[in-house]
Amino acid sequence: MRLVEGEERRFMTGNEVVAWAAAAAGADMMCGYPITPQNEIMHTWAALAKEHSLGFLQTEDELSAGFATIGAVMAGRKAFSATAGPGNILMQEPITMAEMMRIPVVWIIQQRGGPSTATVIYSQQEVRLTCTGGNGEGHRIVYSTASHQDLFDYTIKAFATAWRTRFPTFVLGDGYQGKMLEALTLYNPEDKGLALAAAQEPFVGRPGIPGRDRPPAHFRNTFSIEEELYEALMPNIRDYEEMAPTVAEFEQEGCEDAHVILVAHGIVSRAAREAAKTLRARGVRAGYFRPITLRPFPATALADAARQADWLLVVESACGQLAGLVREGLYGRAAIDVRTYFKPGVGITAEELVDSVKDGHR
Amino acid sequence: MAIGEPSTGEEDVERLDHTDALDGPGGTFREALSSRAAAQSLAGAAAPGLGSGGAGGGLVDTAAMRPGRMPQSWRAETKPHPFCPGCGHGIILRALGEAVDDLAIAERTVYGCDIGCSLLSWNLFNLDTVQTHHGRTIPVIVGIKRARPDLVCIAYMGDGGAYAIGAQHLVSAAIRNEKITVIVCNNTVYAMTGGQLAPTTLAGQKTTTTPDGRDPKETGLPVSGPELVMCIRKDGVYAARGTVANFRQLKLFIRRALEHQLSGYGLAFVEALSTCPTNWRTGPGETWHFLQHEMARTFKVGEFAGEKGRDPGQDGAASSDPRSERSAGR
Repeated sequence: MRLVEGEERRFMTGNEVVAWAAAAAGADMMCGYPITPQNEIMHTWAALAKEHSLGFLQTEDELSAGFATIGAVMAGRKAFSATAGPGNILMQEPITMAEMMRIPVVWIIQQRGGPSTATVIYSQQEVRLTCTGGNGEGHRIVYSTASHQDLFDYTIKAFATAWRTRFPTFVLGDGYQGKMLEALTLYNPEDKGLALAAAQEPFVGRPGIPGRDRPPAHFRNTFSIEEELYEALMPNIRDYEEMAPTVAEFEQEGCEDAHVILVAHGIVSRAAREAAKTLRARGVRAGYFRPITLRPFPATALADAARQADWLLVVESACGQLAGLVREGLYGRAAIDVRTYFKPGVGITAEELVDSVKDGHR
Repeated sequence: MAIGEPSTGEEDVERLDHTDALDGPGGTFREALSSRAAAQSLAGAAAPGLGSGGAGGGLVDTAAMRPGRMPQSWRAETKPHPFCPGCGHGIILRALGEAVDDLAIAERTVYGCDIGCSLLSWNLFNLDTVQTHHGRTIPVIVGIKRARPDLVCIAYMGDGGAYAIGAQHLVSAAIRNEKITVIVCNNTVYAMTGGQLAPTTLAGQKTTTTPDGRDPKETGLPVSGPELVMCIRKDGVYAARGTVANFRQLKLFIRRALEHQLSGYGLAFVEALSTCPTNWRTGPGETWHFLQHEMARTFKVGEFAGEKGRDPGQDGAASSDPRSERSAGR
């Protein structure tokens, strides 16, 4: 739907941006449940839904929000949901159903402190949960946004990716991004030649009498024996491996001759980038690497970037969730000293990173 | 009518019952099965016995015209179905299949099943079907119905899926008066997982997790599902309890529950008393006794609300918002 004429500069909160981006991407239904810090995604969508006759349902919990979203997609809608923290935990159950059955759905996650109720504010502690939180292999796509422009760009992209690849696709933000006001440019994706989510035949409710005009559409996520499951999973695994190199994204600066590379994702990558620049200005050969997709993780690109560096500093508002992905990605590709800067649930400034690197952080 | 005093629908069953002979025009069941399978080609040859309702709707009791035959909305290729001997699922789902045939709604029906023995019905019908997670059939079906209100959406589950892990979703569907049809198979145990205590297990009933019998002091008493739904919302809801011991009545209730959705009134709910000799560890006689005497004493069979009830919200009832005083200009 065309929400703006041409391009428009706006000053908005991240949660509002998400709802606008979903509408711009052609989403026509959202199911959700209140949980801070993502509630305004629902509020904004509810208002858009009223104005533009889109679908919206607030359900009784995140389980039903996720499952109702899946039902809506199966019936032919471009539907999405959003959650955070303990809601993200509940959402894992419907996510695994989408994963097993290759049902395209978009979820926006605004990370808050964890574990348990913790804070409603901010963290980067839902990385593992969002990437691999179900009882399966975590064949999902996760975009970690760092700015409101990212939230807009990548929410639109998430729909296109999900409907093209049929893997559950996530926009991983956080409470700071959700609640901050920031400037960005709104646009209509069609004007930029961006692919919108491909229209797809609904799973159920197609025309014709089942069993007479067409086969009945029977969908299940359960199998009777191990080999049946294996046969169902292998094509998904192959599809995922084929898709991964075409979807993985990253950003880097100054790594070619870096002595130290700061590795960070999401909003923390802004501090890392700024710190690397400051360090350069002070004569330290610092670079910065930002994985944009945490899943699939851009491991080869990181290994290439780290090739001649002496050490990496992995920075996150969590306690090892990004560091785990980094170590796993580098294993067998590059042997390098990986040091860490963890502040679970707390924001990180460029200044503290500069100090940390200058102190030869251990 | 007051909760707890259901009508049995007997007079309606009498009117419907005009099958005097079990022999249909098509011969024996096996002959009917093979002729049905031959007729089910995508070329769309009309199968014998299809009622005159066609796709345009209209009520035709096709089962009466061809008794003993598999419902058209059943898929012959997946028969015999995998339910245990003596299981009530086959009977409930046959009643559902015949009701779908009679209403001629197969083309726009989506059927959802839960986890447990109900999942074995994932390919039972010639209907679009989605097997969901345990207790999550209602929200998936709600999502489908909200996306496509023209579809007839059915959520089928057991007593565990409805009253334990899925209770939250049943309650909320009643609160929001979701326009779906929910059918619950109540056999007083979790059957697929090995006969554990269920919300509808009777006091004193032995299960694998109540080896000494259900002690009300420890785990309470069995829940009454249709009554629960009626407590949450009377207007706009259709609620009934049937039993596999009375097929025609059960089919009538299921048909009414589907018609309720077609009329757009709101939630339609049917619980069916059912049997599980495998987990009850009972022979045929004991199974029948438990169903007819023990269960029927605890769970009242009949209709709890007519489709005549309407949701006041549908008629644009006055809304109350804390801000309305201000907006009225005071």
